Amino acid sequence: MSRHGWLLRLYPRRFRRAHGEEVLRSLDEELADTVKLGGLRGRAAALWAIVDVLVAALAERLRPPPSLSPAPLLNDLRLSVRALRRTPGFTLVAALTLALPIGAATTIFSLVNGVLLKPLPYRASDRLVNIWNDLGQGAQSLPAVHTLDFRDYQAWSHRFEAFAAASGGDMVQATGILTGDGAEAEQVEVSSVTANLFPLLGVEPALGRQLTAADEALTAEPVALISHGLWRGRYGADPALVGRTIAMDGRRYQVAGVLPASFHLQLPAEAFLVTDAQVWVPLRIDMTKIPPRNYTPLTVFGRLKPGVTLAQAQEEMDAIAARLRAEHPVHAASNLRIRAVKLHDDVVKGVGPLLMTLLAAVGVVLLIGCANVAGLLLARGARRRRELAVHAAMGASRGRLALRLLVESLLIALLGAAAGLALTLAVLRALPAIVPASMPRMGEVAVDASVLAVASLVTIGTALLVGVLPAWLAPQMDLSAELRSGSGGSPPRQDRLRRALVVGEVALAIVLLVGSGLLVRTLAALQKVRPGFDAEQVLTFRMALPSPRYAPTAKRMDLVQRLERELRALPGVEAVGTVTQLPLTGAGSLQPYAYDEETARHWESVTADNRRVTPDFFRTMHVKVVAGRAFTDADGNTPPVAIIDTELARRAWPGESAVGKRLQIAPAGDRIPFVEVVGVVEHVHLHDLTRPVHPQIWRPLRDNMDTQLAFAVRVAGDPTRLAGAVRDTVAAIDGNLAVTHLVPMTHYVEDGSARARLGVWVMTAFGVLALILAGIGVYSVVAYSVAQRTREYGIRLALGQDPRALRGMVLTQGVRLGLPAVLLGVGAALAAAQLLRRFLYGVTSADPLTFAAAALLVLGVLLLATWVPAWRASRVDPRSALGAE
Amino acid sequence: MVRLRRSDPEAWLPLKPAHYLLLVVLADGDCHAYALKKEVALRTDGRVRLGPGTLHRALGWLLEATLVEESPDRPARTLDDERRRYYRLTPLGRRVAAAETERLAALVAAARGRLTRREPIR
Repeated sequence: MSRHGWLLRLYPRRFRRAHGEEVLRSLDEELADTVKLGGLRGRAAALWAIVDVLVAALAERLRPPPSLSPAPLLNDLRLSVRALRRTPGFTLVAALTLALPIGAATTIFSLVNGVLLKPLPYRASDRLVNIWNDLGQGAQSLPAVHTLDFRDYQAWSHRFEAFAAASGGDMVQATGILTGDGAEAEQVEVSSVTANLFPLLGVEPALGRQLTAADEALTAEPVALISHGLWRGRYGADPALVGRTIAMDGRRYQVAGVLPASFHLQLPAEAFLVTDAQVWVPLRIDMTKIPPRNYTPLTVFGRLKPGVTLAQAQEEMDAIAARLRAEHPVHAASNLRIRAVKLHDDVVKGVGPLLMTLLAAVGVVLLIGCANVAGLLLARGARRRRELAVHAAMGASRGRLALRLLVESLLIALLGAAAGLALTLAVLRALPAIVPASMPRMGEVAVDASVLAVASLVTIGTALLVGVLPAWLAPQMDLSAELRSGSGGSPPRQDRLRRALVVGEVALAIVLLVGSGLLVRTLAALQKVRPGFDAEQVLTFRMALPSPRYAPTAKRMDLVQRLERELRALPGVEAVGTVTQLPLTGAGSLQPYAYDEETARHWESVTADNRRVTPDFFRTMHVKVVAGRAFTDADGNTPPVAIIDTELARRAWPGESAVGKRLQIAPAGDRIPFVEVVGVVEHVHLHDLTRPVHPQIWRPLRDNMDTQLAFAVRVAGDPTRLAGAVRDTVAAIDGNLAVTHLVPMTHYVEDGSARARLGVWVMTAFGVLALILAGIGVYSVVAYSVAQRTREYGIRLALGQDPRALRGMVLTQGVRLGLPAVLLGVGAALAAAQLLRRFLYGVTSADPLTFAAAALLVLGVLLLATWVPAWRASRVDPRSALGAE
Repeated sequence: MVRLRRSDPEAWLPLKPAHYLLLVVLADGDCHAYALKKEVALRTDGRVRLGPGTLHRALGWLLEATLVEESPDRPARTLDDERRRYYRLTPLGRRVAAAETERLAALVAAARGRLTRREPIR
């Protein structure tokens, strides 16, 4: 006899008797052949043969007998529908129990699909890369490139089809103000792009033409492509707009075309100056005014030649970087490195881990739901054993009975999936209100074919998971014994299985609760972080100063001073400050610096955030001056002064006072190579609430005016109340100025923790759902066992047992289920929490408080779920219980 | 609905590929399981490999459907292994195999005409 005889036990008895011996002989022959093959191939072939035997066993069990018409299957369906309709309560509970997990799983998968799986909406987008320049030892890492470096890439590279570049509108600012056309002045985002950018991405204008190389000439007429949104909004979707001119910043631009409505420029969060703009102008490079090679205004996109791998492209960029370092001392000093990053990865890198974690969590929820419904079906199966036995007696084969039970669970799963899909559609519709604005690609999240495919797979998988236990057990019943006996009690084996399912459910619920607990604690910690300023009661807005009118620095400063003065005069205003870029509003300009010979020799080996402010900015934002002083109205470039943050002070002059020190901010020979440090302020979190990113250099706005400004207004009371007055004040000074982003500072702080908050919401919802499902699971097991033992309880009570003692007995039963489950769950949660580590802040992944709270919460729910049946047990009426049979 | 009779070859169409291949091999003569498996692999250039489970499920189905039966004829005793079972086509099995061949040939012919004319398939 073959040593694989045990495999035959998996086949239905009928098949085993008829063909078992032959199967074994063939398997042995097959295995003998694989030995001749030898090696890995032989082993793989042997494994394949055994798997084949296993799969065939499963298929044989599920197979209806050979038949000419599909009627028997239809018959199964009809019988199943009838069975489910007979017990509408059960059907509803089971379907709803599956609806929530299936809906949640479909929703999370549509997010994963839209953001991570779908290719970017560009032609052959897997060949698109984004170019990063890294300087120093992590001093600067940005998707930003110098104009001439970009030209060198184009000239030297062979593994790229092309490079294209984008920048802010005039390479300094990324906004413009549209006027005329009978509409109000409107501030718009402007990008300047090389003419080949849209062809490189494979994007055709919806109307009009592409930009051309001729448009890039300095002397060419100004032209622009505009976004579909702007075309529809400001210009009423007028097709005749193409070819006409529009006025922006006092210049006339001919509209070359309108981009398609679906077009968005997908960028990594770090992209600098470049935005997904409304107006796109050709990038014009004035070769007479090229700044030094360390000035990097361009975001560069590349398209790999077909068949070129990312590693090969990187190899080439490494060579190009080496050549650039050799040819340009400034690149040698800063140790320039070039990285090619797949555009898709670059765009979604911030959300991938969060989404994958949520996907794992939703998988756990789904498992709990399946365990729950499997438990319900087992209990129901126990009650229906007589019915099944009758069917068997009338000639239904055991495989057939199993098939019917599977069809039933499939029907339940389908009902659940339909409700779940409705849930998904509702959630996706509400998505823009739920997810933070900084989440990439949210516009591409939708229920599409792949989401539907996965939803169907999940449904079928669920049906199998849920139905396989009852279906497997059904043929093993001793049916004739079943018919002879009268009662509907379930055999111990089924009871043990149901208990195991519930233990698993409870343990998984603890895993989810611990996860959500850790995220809640993280959010709490985030909210306690002092970001280096006080965001409460501060109203902010941004403004771009249109260039021709406000070109002279003095005119800009006049405007700022007048605006600050008039805003300060508004009732309730306590202080007003101006800054080039507000904290937590994205990457900003970086300033290389040096404080000793070493850092001076490797210029740009260290960089700091670079912000310019008016004297009152620190007072307005409640930024603490730690040493020295804040700026005064007299501070400017004569003499040049700066304020640094505690990070930079600690790094440059540890253990010393930084006040009075000279800090180098430009290579020797520059107009202003050194500034004097007049004060030290606390570190202001400009990029990330949880950690300092760069050290900071603050300089007076006077003499260093920018065209992009942001204003902060500290108000007594609700800052939004002042919004109207702010607009009026600005309009009264200059009607052509456009106020944008008029929001309280707290808006940006909340946005900074928005991802954490989203994680908390979703995980908590999952945790609560898991808790409820686990509670129902425990309840149903205990209630079922109480119902079965009604007679026993009646006798006990009749013999004078104290009802309280009886209650205690049933409660103990619940606790006996719960305790191992809690232990198991805590163990599993300890392991699973490791996956959450990167999202945690201010709490460890093994936080005892969270674990204890989750365990206690689950135990509490367990007791509650057990208490109801226990109470019922103690209230059994002995007479009716004994007379029941 | 038109009900087809078991004895009507059309009633069994379309056949699963494994069933069809087994019928085709058996059409050349009686055969035991191991040889069937080898022959199927040979005739399909190794593209179809029937594992032990799949093979006997398919044979089981063919037996149950009376397209195949166990053969009482044995080859010469010297070539034979007592324990092996030999299978052979029933007359119905032969007609079913022929009908399936016709059906497939018609399909292939239709596809050929279409594809060589380079028309889009709608």
